[in-house]
Amino acid sequence: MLDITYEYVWQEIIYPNIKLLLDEISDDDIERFEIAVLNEKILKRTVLSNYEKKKNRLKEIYHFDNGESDQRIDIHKVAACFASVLIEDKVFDFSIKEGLTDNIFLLNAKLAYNVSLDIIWMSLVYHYINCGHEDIADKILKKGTLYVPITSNGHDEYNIGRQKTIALNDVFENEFDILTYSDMMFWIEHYNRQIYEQKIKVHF
Amino acid sequence: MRKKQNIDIELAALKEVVRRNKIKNTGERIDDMVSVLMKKGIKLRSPRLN
Repeated sequence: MLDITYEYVWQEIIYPNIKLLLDEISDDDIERFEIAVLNEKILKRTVLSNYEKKKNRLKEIYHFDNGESDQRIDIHKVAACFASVLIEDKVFDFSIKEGLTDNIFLLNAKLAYNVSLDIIWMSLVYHYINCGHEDIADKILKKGTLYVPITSNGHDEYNIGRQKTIALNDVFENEFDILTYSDMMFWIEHYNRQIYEQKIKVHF
Repeated sequence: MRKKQNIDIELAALKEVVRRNKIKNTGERIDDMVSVLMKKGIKLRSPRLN
């Protein structure tokens, strides 16, 4: 990934998502649960370095390409690699004590999930600009998030459910499954393309 | 139930399975995507001027 690409991903996706999550928490709770974020400069460098390691490892163990040099990975795997790095690196530090809210407990899982979804969101904006459908790109930008399926009664809302899954796997020290996660990214992208291209009608 | 063989033998066989019929990924690079978005001045979540 070029430096200028990462700069854009940091400025437009990762850093704003850190800020958005922090903004949702009251100053009292930040103090009470000792919520802290690593220095931005160090964090920015660490995330990139670990992303590169993760991506190179992915290519090494999963991309068998007959020795060709151009081992590109698709945007779904890029998104999955960032999610994996962010849940492993733990951008947010906090104390677990009585009164801890779900929002605080899930901070790192939310960041991992939200960043990966935003990478797919970004790729959709690019896709529709690139194929001459700026009208659709504008709609996606204005919506600001991706569509996700409605879940059935008794289940968490889709995004919350996935964030809890990330947190559960992390707590139980299951290795982050990049291939399966990237498949989830594929289906979310596909679902959104179907909606924006009006191949399916969804009532919200 | 099938017994797991030596990991090296399993991996060599798996590599062949993965390679077979695989079409080269010609998808867009994230660098190309971001380059286009920057040229268009697309802001995603950073503060927008308007």
